[in-house]
Amino acid sequence: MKISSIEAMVLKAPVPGIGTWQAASFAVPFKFAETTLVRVETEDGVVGWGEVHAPVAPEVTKTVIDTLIAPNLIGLDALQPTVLWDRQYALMRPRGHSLGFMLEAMSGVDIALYDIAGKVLGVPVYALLGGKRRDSVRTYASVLQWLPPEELAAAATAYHDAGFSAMKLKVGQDPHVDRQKAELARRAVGDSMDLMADANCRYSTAEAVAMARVLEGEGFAWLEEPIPPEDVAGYTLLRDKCDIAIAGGECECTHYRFAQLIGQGTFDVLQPDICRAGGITACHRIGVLADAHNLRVAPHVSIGSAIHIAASLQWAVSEASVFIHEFPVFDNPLVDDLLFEPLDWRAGQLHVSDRPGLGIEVRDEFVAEHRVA
Amino acid sequence: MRIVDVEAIAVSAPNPAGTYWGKASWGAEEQAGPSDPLAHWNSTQVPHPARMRPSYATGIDTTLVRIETDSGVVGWGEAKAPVAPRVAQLIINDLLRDMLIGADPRNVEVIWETLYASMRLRGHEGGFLVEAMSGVDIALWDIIGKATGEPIHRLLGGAYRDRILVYASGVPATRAARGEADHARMLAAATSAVERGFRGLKMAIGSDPAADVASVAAVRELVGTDLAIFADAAGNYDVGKAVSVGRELESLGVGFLEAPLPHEFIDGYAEVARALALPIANDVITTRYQVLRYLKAAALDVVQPDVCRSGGITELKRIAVLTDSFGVAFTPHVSIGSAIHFVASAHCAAAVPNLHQMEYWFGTNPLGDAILTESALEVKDGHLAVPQGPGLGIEVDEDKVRALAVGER
Repeated sequence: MKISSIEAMVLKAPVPGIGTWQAASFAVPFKFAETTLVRVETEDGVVGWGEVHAPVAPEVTKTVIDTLIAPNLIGLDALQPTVLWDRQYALMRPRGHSLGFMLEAMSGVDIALYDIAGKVLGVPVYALLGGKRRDSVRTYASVLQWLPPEELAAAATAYHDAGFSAMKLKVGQDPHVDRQKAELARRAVGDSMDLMADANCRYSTAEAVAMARVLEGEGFAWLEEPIPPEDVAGYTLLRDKCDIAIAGGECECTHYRFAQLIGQGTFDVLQPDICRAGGITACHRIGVLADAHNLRVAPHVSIGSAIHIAASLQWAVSEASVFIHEFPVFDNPLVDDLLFEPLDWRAGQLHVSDRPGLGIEVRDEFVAEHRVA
Repeated sequence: MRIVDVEAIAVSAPNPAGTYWGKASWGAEEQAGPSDPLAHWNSTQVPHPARMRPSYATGIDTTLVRIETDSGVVGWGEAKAPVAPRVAQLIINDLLRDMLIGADPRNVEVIWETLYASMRLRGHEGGFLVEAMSGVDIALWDIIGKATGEPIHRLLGGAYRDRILVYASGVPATRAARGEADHARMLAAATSAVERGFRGLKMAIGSDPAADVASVAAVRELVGTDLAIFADAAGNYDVGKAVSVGRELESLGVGFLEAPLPHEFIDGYAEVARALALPIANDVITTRYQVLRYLKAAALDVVQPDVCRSGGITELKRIAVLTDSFGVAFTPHVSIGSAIHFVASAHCAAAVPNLHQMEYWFGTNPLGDAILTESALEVKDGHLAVPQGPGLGIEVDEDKVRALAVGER
């Protein structure tokens, strides 16, 4: 079953107000919800879909796929995603591309190859990963932007009423304001909801310890990315000093790098993103590592399409260490309108599809309408 | 002074030598035969050969960067792009350009941090983004030098030397299966390095331990004991092989063993470094953060950052300070690239106290002196002269560059 084509496409969809979003994670302001989708086809006409996490500059990963990955994979047997992952990684390995655009591009191709493998074998992707441990995964409402403390408290109540049992809010803005956010959100929902806080790497180590104490007092479930990602020793120190779970890893890639981070005692909760860390192959390997070290995994998704979430879900239901899944709460046409049958989110849980591959059907019409490259 | 234009130009020149030396040593076709890129399935070699075959272009490719200011000063830089040069081009033109237009190039370090911050929380600590940033950074230093009338090395704190000891890079070791002609090619390449006055050369090993050691022994016999020999395994060994080959290389008087393991295994590097007196080097370096991880693990004796890959002149200067603080040697990596790559490396090498040597790809380079109005890369007595003119101290022939351009602006 040879690969006959690998097509990367850039999609942009309008999201009202996205240009005004403020948070530490938005160094480059957003204009649209953007992403890079990958469509792989075999000589027999089987089509697989994948996605690259590309909230800015999706044209870059499209070019990586068009000019580097596709020419090296076309003509090879599609039914060997792990071998092809190693082949892709080797293309730039001695040049140190163990993260960044290369791994993001590879993620999209890897997911599409798993979709194909599932469709050809007539099984959902989770069956290729050892089977499903659960029919659905608990989700947390993920608020991506800085909201004023009062608005955040109101949002927490609204998400609770909508069925969420957990919510994550963005801190890393100002220690005083951040404290208010934590206190008001907790006051709004009482014990009826788990709360988590994400600092997007904005604190110093000392500020992070102080914030951890506040969050511990408010019973938060984790403190995410308190300090810059390169400061591995700082993470180790924080995890030693603080009772609250330290979460991180959304910007990280491959089992190689996670092995280093885990070995140094960096995180309690690992948050690989399936469209960045290296696809299903890499996340499955990371999951094995997490399990061996008795760590927890909370898959990261932020701004992406329904393919991103569907792929992550197939992996998440198979993984022993996954205990909760991110679910961004804003109206994103790339999530809501891309599929014939929307994702099955009910009562705070994402339910996995039991159909072959990723279990989704992409609306070509939507793709054509929103494709810009 | 404000930046008014930023343009990345992806270029590709036919390789006059036929096959680039890295491809001849480590490329997929060389290892598996062009018809079957996934051969070696039955290999029990560790690391598995299929995991270690990089992509190589058929020509000599790279991405050049041209930045213009409102005062009319133009600076040139280069982003390392031996394959897929349009990726770095797109990153610069689509992502970085908007952050650069209107900025004062003299804030070069501030600009570096701004560009890095654009993707920092997405984990782009290396790879295509930092390569693209490297090209921008070099062009900014060129501008500052030209605007002040000073060569870049003087802006970095001054020169420890005005000529740089360089070693000839690009002597592929012989593979047993390739026979006599291959062996003869290897000896001819080594002879050519000697004849051109180099004091040292680097061999591309990493295929098979026995053949690798035999190749180095044959070249040592040919060149005698005066010439330095370095060896680059491009990550193709495991710890056991690295140590056993390393012992043989020690007895052959090899100067350093580069990239014995895949770069991900920092603990493994530390183990090899502890076991051998032979200095251990690594060229797979992305930003000071990655360097610091190796240094804290005492995993390297020689750090080989590439000015067009590791973050430009700004980052190489910081890496030099870090390595010096740990008593580790610094040597710029120049495996392939244009004249801009060579001279930017030379300026860094001039201004660094803990310099070891500098790599010099000594094959026929269609992007070397060929893209300059005046020659700058000539090696005399094994040394490369550090350019003394303002900025990079070279004049790029823009028409020649544009004639090699591929892809759209």
